[in-house]
Amino acid sequence: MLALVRDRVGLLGLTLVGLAFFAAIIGPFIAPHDPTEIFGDQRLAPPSSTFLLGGDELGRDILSRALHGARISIFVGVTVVALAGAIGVTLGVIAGYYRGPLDSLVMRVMDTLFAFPTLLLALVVVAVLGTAIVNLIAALTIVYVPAFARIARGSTLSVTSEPYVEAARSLGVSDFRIIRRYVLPNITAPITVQFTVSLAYAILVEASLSYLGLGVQPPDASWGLMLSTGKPFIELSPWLSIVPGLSIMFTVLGFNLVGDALRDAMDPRLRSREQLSQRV
Amino acid sequence: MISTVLGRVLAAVPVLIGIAVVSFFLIRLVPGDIVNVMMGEDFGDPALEAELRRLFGLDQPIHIQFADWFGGLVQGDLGTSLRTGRPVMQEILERFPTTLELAVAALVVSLAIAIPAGIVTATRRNSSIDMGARLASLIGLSLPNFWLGILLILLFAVFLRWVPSSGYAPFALSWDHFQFLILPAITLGTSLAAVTMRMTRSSLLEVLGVDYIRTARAKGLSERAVVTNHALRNSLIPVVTVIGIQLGGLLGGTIIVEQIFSWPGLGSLLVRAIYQRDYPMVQGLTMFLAFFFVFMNLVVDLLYVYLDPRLRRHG
Repeated sequence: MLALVRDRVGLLGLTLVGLAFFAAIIGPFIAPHDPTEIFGDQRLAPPSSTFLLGGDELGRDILSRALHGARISIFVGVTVVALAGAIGVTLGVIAGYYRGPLDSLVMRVMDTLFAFPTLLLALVVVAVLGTAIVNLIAALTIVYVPAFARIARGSTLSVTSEPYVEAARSLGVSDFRIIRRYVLPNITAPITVQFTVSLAYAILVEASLSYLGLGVQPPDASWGLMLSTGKPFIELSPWLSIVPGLSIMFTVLGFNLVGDALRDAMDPRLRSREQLSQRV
Repeated sequence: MISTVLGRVLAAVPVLIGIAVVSFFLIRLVPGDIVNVMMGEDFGDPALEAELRRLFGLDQPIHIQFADWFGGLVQGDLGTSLRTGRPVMQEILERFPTTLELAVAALVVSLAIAIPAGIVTATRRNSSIDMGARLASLIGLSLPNFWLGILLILLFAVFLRWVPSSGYAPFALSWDHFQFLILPAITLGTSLAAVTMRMTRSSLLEVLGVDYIRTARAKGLSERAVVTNHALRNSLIPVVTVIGIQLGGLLGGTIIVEQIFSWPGLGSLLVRAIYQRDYPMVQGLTMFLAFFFVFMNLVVDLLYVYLDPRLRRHG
């Protein structure tokens, strides 16, 4: 964490992520208006002292809706990576630790899910289950489980071949204890990086689904939904699209920067080779 | 070489079967089933319900249903659309060239941006061009493509009026057709370009640091010759891998980009099928796009067997 703060890029990422979390947690309390309240005289109104970021196509306050949108995006993103991480890491560790037929079965299922383009799979699962936040979270969780499982399995395979794990086994330490004490602590680095990257993309996919009308439903505010409903009015009121678009971009950029900085901080090989080519 | 190709093709078979199984059972998760969806207001008429169930084979045990469906699948039969009554495969094949054209155009846009940008940033490391391009690539990665599409419409269609904001004209080698392709292709190609540029840069930097490049320089070759003749080809292997991985994103991206620009491809067909709850169409499109994704990854796999002769020997 300290390395992250020392790194300029990581610090910028942390700041953006911090702002997004701040908006998600505190935003609804400091929002000037109810995000669903309609002010007839503020329909498509440009930014003013009453509506700092203008009014939307129905006369609702864009700033208040953007702040509430932050809560939904962050909530969906964090819940998805927490669930996908928990399920994926469990499956990956079990597959990598026990190997054999169980490993083959789990990884073939993961390979199959991996073969579907991300947005396509999420879209179809939501289409089948119906549009509700719970279903949206379920769809995105299914989409992101394979990435966690693959990384956890790969890392577990490498850790379990280490002499200290062999030694623990020969001393008769239980599998559960070996996994908890030796495997999990040693695979946290790649999993942490995957968390930030998946979080960024989960927010993007949630926004995409909401844009298509298959995610968060009106009158709730979501950045993707705000972009979708604002699109017919871009000529008259460009701020309808600019505010939610920038919100998504800076949030996702923040997570991408943190992910990149974490990758550097946790991989000394990359750090020493070059202050990484992959990073700004 | 032939055994390598055969091995890669055979390795894709279990994944294809897995896709078929997932697609089959996914649609069975629909609350109720497609008969309930079809009956709509007639729901509650037991005779009609039984007749429809018999017609779709839903009165059979699940394994028989799967065997029937899978038998049709291997013969290219993806079922019939609930809304148009036409074979799903026929509708997909009619629209596939339109989506393929968009995907290829996006790929061309992305490579046209990414490869030169990757080379420039790698050869001028830590210059202001390098820093600017790397920042741009991270922003490109973080931009939702539907927002970028809206911004491009705003700039090029609304303010500058250079191209139409959306629409489509049947394929022809003329401006009438290509004017509709430009904005969707740029929208879709940008995020792909960001990833490809980052990979080109890091891969080229790695190759530029190895011994044979030092030898080439010591021979007195110009920097251009060193980069283009010696470094670039060897640095392209991981780039091809990344492009292959990104193809899934490209296909996913077409779904949303087609929607923004009213491009009549598979993406807009899928979204319409979802809105209309045309489940056989949703299932058919899911399978088709996933199969195509696997096929493209296979092509990429074989491409780096071609690019890296060592893989031909080791399989």
